Amino acid sequence: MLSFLNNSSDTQLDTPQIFAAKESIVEDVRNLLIAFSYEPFDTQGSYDLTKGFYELIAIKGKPVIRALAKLIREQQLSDNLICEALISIGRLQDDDTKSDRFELLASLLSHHVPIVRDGVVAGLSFLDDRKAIPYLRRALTFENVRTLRGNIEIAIKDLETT
Amino acid sequence: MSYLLRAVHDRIYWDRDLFPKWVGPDDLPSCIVGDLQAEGNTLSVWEILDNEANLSQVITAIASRHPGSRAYFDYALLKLDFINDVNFSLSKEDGKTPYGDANLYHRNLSNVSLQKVVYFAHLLCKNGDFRRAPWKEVKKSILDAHTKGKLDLSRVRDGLKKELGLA
Repeated sequence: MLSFLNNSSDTQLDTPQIFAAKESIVEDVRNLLIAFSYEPFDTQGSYDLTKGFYELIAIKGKPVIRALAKLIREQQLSDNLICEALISIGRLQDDDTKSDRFELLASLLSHHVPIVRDGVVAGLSFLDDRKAIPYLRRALTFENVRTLRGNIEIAIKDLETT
Repeated sequence: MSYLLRAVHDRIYWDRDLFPKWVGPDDLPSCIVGDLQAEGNTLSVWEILDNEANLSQVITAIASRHPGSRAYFDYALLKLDFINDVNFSLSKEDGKTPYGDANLYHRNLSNVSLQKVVYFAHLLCKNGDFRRAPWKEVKKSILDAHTKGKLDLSRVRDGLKKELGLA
């Protein structure tokens, strides 16, 4: 668990061909997100980004989630864009990537940027898996941003009704 | 004293404690402008009764226009006094949501210049009560409204209809 933010497992044993293929997917995810970075996010934009992830996963499969993790880890995206991306991957209805998406979201609950943590909380709410409750409860013990604490409490309450 | 409701994308962007350090004490980050887009120089708001009896209805109405599900529904409430005290033109105009009963509570802030948008943003940021409704509650309210025959399904967008099992 929580291996997503550790880059050692990502590329160390890759052949050059596999490395190149993975980099190509990272580029696809970056391009998808950059396309959404010029407009303020609203409900429609958020929904469209999710559709973009759906289409990319349909073509490239599970590595899309790992590629997103790499972009976050390497700080190649703005905080707001990361937040929206995390909400979007929570919204996806895709069983093949569900455990990867859960792992990525849970691994970012202690991210140093509050807006990213906010995206995590919303993403976990969307994922609608009670497995997230203990992670969110633990996050409450160290979260010191009042609005975020409120959002976490609402997310826990929401998940408890799942 | 009633309130005005304005839906916002994510209440966290309005948390002054989280504004970037380069935002001065009398300034606001430009990212919140997305929450205050005017149409025809008019800002769409909703009047909420002082006992909040119509709050759930209004949230249901706004959410029923969404293209699809959300994880939450964030909004701000501002006491109507703040608007009455300054030169905003508030008028009644029925909303255009699928929820007819709630549309009666729709209001327009008309003749809104850019300066007034900024002023309104300051009013909201300083005096607004930013809240979050969990999506499951909102979803239940939309479905309840549908069951009671209160929802005009032809005005609900296809994505949301499909996700709610109403398609």
